Amino acid sequence: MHEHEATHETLRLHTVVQTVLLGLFGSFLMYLKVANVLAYYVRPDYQMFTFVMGGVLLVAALINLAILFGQRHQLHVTISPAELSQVFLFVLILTLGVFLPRRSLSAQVAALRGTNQNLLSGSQLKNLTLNDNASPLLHTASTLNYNIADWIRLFSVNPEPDNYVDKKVNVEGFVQSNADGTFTVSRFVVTCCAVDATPIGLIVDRGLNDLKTDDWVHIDGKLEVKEINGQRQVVVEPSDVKKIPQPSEPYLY
Amino acid sequence: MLKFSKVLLVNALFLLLTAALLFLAPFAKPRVLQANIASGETNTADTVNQQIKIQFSRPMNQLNVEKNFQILPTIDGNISWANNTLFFTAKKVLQYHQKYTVTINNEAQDIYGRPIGKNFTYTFQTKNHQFIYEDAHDQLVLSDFSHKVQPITTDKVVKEYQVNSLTHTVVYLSQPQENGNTEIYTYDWVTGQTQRLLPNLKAHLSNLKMTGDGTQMYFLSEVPDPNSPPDQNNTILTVYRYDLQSRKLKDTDLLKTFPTLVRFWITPDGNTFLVNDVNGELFLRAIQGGKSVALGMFADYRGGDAKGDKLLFLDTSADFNYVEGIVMYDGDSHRLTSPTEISTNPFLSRNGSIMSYSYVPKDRHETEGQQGVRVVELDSGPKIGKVLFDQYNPDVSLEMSELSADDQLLSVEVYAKADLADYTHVRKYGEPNKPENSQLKFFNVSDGAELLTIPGKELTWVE
Repeated sequence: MHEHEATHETLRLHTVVQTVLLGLFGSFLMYLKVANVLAYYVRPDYQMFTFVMGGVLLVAALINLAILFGQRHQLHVTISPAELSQVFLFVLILTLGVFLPRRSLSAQVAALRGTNQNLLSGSQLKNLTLNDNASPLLHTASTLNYNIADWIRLFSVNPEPDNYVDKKVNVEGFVQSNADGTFTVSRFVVTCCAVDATPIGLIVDRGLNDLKTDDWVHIDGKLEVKEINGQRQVVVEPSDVKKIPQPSEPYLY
Repeated sequence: MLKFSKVLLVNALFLLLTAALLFLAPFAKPRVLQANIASGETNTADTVNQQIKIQFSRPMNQLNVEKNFQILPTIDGNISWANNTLFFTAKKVLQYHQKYTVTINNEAQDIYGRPIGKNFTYTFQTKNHQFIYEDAHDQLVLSDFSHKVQPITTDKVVKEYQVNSLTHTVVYLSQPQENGNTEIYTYDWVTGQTQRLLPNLKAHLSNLKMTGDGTQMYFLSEVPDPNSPPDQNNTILTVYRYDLQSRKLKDTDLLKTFPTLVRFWITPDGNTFLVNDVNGELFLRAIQGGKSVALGMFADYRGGDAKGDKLLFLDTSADFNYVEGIVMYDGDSHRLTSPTEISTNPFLSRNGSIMSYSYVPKDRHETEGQQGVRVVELDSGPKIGKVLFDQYNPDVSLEMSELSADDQLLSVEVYAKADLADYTHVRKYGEPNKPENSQLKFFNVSDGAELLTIPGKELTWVE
């Protein structure tokens, strides 16, 4: 009687494969954190969360496997075409994740999403609002510790270029070449993860010279106003441009 | 099958709705969502240095809106945009005590060519000229020419104070009689609230400074050196930084490596310390660490323009036979005033184009110490250009002067000749105790008219 019931509990191969995939996904997320490359995909305060969720997936998969094989099942080895395509999809994603090179978003993506003139809004502004009297603030505040996102946030709540003349600039970013021969030093601002990354940048009033697109640079200089396509724009008058390695956290938040 | 078609129907409805909205969107009229308006009460009224911001409900045809923008009375300025918001930035500060009317004409269009339909108009009133000073009872007071007086302190011994108009804050050091420790307070003149900062700090404090953005406060702390031999009361001098936004002490050991620190200042841009050592030499030093740059034997830093490109020092060097004069530093040092006429107490206007200072006429150097006051234009060079205002009266001494933000009014600290005896000869060597009976006089720069005299000293204009 007992044996007869057990033979009815067939274990389907598809269930096993699904569980294994779940475990692999969890392991992969945890590996990304351990290998210190999660910064390319999600913002820092979400990284631990992602790591823990990877752990939860892995543990869930292991428990599931233990239960599945702890019971006496008869393995049912056929798999339907629908199930197969589903498995294929997950395997494909996992394979791409594992084998594609791990790198931050590039100038090419920035060009696709458009950099120059990009302003920030809403939660990207952090604590700044349009009602802030940021104009006189700028006349006096020390700007040497402003990154590109800090600058663009200010431009977004106070776009008047004259406010920024002679402000000292000390920023890092990657190079995007411009049509007029100058280049833009750019960063991505990430609210959650790489999907929502918004490219922003400061135009550097200098030729590329030995720089290539996607090179990371450190730029010292000051801001000036220049008329570009009939519009007064803030540009960086560089005093020093240095190539640097890509920072470990390529995005700004 | 029935279920499936229901789902399809709902989806189709949503699709239609979205399409309808997308189609209708360009036909909705654009409108002004908000514009910055502040009330007319003096302390909360719009300040003279703010921008006009008008936010629209949708992307506008910027050139077209700019053509349909008007401000009366007319002021020279730039228009710039951030997304759907128009910013008008005046080239100079607005006029004090002036009603302005801003209009967006009904023909202003959005990017689809739809006009806003009716005129958008709003008016705002800028505040009166306001100033903070120490009254005859040595208490800090906020006042204006309508004699609306707001006391800041009532029972404190104020040693030093600093004002920041952006954050409407006064910070001041007070030294009670009972012990040698110094207390720090902030006062917000919009809310009227006083708050004591760092109540547990046991040190003698001085050299209170605030950055131009009003976010950071620096001061010199002097505490007994625990390693000092008992017969010598050695002390340790360091500069503290206090963050006025987070209300936290951030640094306690700035300039510790500067061994002979006597006084320090912060440049208006908040980037650089200016430090006087015991020998009277002045140094520039980046706040975020770095080497000190010796500028020369300049006794004192006396402020700069709002950007911090031009700084003023006092020069007492042998080059000029120790005749005190005014030096401008713009990367290089330039003596502005005559090598033979004693001149001191410079004050530089916001944009660095006008300076006020006091002087002792040449023929009176040897005999008397009374000073006159001049307001002059500064030409490129830099050198002193046209004289806009000049006052000399042998019965009184006109000392510290300060120009209002619009360069229209001049305040001058005045001492009677009889009270000057001790004061003049120590004036050169640091910070003498000023005579008791000082007055503040207010002048119109353009016509030299005297507007008002009140008992008091240590005036700072409020923007």
